[in-house]
Amino acid sequence: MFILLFLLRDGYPIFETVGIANFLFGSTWAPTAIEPSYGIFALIVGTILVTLGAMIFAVPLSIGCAIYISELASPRVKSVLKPATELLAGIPSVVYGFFGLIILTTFIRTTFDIPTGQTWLAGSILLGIMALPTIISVSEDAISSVPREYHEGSLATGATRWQTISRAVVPAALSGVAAAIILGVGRAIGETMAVMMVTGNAAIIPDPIWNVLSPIRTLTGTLGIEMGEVSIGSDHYHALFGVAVVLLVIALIVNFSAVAILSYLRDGRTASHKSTLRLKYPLVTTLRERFSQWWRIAALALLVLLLLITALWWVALLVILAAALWHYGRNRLSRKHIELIAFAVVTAAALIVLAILAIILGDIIVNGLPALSWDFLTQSPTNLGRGGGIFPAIIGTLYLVTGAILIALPLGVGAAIYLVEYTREGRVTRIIRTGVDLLNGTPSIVFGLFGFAFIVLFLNVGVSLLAGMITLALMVLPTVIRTTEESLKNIPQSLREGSLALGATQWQTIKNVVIPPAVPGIVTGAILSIGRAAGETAPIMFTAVVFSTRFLPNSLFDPVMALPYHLYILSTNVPGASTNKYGTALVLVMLVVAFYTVAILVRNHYAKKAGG
Amino acid sequence: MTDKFHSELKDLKKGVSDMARFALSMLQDSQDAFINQDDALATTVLDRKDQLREKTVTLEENCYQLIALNQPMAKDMRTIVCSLKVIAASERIGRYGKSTAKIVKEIAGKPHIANMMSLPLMSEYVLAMIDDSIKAYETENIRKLDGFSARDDAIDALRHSIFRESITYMMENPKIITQATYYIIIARYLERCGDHACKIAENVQYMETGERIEIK
Amino acid sequence: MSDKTIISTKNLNLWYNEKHALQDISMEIEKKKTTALIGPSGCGKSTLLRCFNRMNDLINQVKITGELLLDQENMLSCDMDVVSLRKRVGMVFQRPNPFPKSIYENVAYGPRVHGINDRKELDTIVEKSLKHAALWEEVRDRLDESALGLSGGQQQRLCIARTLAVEPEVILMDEPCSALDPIATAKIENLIEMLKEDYTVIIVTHNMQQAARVSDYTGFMYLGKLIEYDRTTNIFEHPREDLTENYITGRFG
Repeated sequence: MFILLFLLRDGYPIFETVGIANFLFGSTWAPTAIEPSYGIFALIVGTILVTLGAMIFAVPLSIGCAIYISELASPRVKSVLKPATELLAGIPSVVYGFFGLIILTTFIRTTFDIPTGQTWLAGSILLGIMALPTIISVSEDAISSVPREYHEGSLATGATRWQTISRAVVPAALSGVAAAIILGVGRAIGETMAVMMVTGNAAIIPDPIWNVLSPIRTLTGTLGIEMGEVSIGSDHYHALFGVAVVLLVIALIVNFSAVAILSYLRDGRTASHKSTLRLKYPLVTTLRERFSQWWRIAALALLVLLLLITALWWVALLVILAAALWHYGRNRLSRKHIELIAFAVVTAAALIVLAILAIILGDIIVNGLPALSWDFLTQSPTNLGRGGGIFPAIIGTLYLVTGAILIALPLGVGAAIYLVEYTREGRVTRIIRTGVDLLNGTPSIVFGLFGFAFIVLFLNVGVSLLAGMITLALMVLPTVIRTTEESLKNIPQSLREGSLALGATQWQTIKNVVIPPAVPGIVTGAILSIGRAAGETAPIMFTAVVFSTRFLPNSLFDPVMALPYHLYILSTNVPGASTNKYGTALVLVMLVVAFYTVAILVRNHYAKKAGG
Repeated sequence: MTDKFHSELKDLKKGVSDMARFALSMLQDSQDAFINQDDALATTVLDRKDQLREKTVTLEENCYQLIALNQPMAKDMRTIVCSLKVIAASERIGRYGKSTAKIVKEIAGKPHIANMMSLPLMSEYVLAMIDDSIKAYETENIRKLDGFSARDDAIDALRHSIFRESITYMMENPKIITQATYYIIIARYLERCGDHACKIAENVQYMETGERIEIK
Repeated sequence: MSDKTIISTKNLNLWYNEKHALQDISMEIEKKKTTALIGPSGCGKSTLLRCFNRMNDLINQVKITGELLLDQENMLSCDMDVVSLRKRVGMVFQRPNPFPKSIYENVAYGPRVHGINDRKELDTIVEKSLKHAALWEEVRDRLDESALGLSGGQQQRLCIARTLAVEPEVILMDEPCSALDPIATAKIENLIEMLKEDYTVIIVTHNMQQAARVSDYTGFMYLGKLIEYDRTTNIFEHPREDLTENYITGRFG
């Protein structure tokens, strides 16, 4: 269980770099030039810009969708939308990248009439889509946890529902929403595969800086692309690890702040803190009220300026029109009308999100279905993957995932039991828990690097199935621990007391009374982890996979094929073979969706049982 | 309400009806002692006075306990309240028996006057009324209480007649004034006991139906 | 300590952090009698009850001093096996807390945990305990159904049956009826009447009438101190302390 601590402590020394101060701020990154320079400033800027763009796209959409789900949707619609967002979260990043590469970049290329669609814009949109589910689900949680008294109090003063939502409920959920956005940012920053495939990977700062159509490269993309080609031990090698450190630090800071806010929120719900929380809320609203006038005008002006400069002047015109309408109409239109408009906007947000999901899935299904055949599923690839099947990849993925869960489940459940049942809340548990949360927020590529450096090299296991399993296991470990912990904590203390009062030992109590009802939660967490592990590319890229082997691995020490990696290579390095690409994508998506569906079904089944 | 309460309530009723019969027997024996001029019987009645007191106290305590601990409602409450009143009435009846026995000891040896006038008849009526009222309490059957009003009137009429008869005899023969006065007193006692029987009857009616009636 | 006493305390003190929750409690609980602990909220009666089966061990920052004996054995010593202590001193909680298992498994839990695994033996124990808890007739046909499907009163009787299954000597009850409706409460009180013959019962209750109805001895506690401890009839008819009288007549608390 202390492997968590061990991991953290161990991760850092590995990333020993030729640490130079100007490493961070040097503006050119050209490691393969004659005189290699390792300034990663351009890369940092790249990461920031792409993330920013993603947020601009994602935040309004997801908050709107979250509002819709928690406030407006009927239970039937809710039961469709919530799983839909979870499904969106489950689609592997490589599939997103694939979609982005094929569809999105083409779209941008043709719309803006530029040589290639691989741009900053593509990266931002894609990352935005990928961040949507995270932001939506956390925001939705925060909004629906606002106590009913707020709703009722506001409605009782004669406010319309929209006014209640916009003025009372959402501000109350603000910290939760903020945390959601931060988490979304964290997700975007740590994303590797998708950005690698669509941003063009030119390590430059766009000129002018707001040129969304310029290619760009992020920290993660750098790692993904260059790691495979670097020679071990060279300066370049160390520099890459330095990049990883920076990435890790940024991701940790982001995630840490999100966790801090979320736990503040959660603690605030207990009775003892309610009073202090209530005090904070008025503060937020008064600030907001005071500045709202100026905020709105200032924000609007900024937006218009931005749009004008980026030559999207027709959008700018629209915005000005909308603002004018709103300002003048505000006092003319009745509150009812405002409400209708607002609801329409919010519903539209939800519909857009649904549409995105539909488009992506639809595209893959439509184009991938023809590729599916018995042969496809059971044959080895031929002709560099253009022909033949993907059987070894399927098997490889299954092996990896099985191994990962076999490692992660006992470790994770054990750690969670230890944390919840055997220790008292204190410094030690908080340190461990922080460690777990930080591990959770680590980008997958960092795991891959760690796996490579530590397992493959240091332990001399070589690129192999085993290395891949261990890396994947480490990646899903925090999720398993988290979900197990939650399930265990949900068991009321009175049951434990009842058992102990009968003279049972603590272990007997845990084994017989605490764990059985917690099993559904644990199982759900395990299945979700499997789903995630199946779709991950970055961790296995350097630790386990090769592109094509004719034969299945004979032992744990052989390298193996895997579906995500197969898809990645096919789409980026192998021209043609379009049907096979789609087929691979479809199989991968189906696999992951299957896992997620099972997990959701299990959870619902037991939720119904508990409720009834 | 717990089983314990209900069984205790049943025991209470049994105890109260036993006590009422005990008091009735005191009155009965005192009347027999009077009729038969039985000094020894009168003494036994006097001896039972302490027992009567003890029963009264114990049963009252039981009632208070039941009320304090159980907060009874509806019929249960009325039962307990009625029982308290029956206890009080029975104690009075018993004490009248004792007082009659005392008189018997006073006039023992002296022959009866005018065949005791209508005293035996009156005592028969009264004893029957008390017995019926106790039966009504025990069986919770208020049919027995029909006609109590008429019977009470009859008893009152007898008392008046004994009074007039005694006065007449006293005017004729001053030597028997003491005895005749005692006759009046005993008749008075009997009439009071009849009233107590009516009181019991009214309370049994209340216990049964919650209705308050008055038997004139 | 006479041999009629089963639990005795002498100068028992308990601290939650800085709070002195129990102050110099000295009392002797008589075997096979029912003892009630009454007092206003926060007076320490539940805390005292939980000392009797060392449930306070579950809370951090608890310090206990003084003497606490079960049948002449020191309950507070490190040598005392808490697990077997809790077998001898069982507890029924304020809110019924049946395990999310079948009715049968709930009652069989205790014996299983103490090593009895023979099915026939368990069957006997389950039936006996359910009968003792006056629940057998109502559930005999559905022993395999989930315990969570029972009504509140039935669940509480199930918890009592569960406690009886390990054959304790003492049964501690922490406001067992406060979460139940009057009919269920009456059933539990009937049950306590029946249990009196074979077990020592210590019951904490808010309801003074209940304490007066079911107990033989009563202890009145206030702000962590044991103000008066005597036969129930004495406490409720002519208490010695003014504080006791004021509480009983409802003048405070």
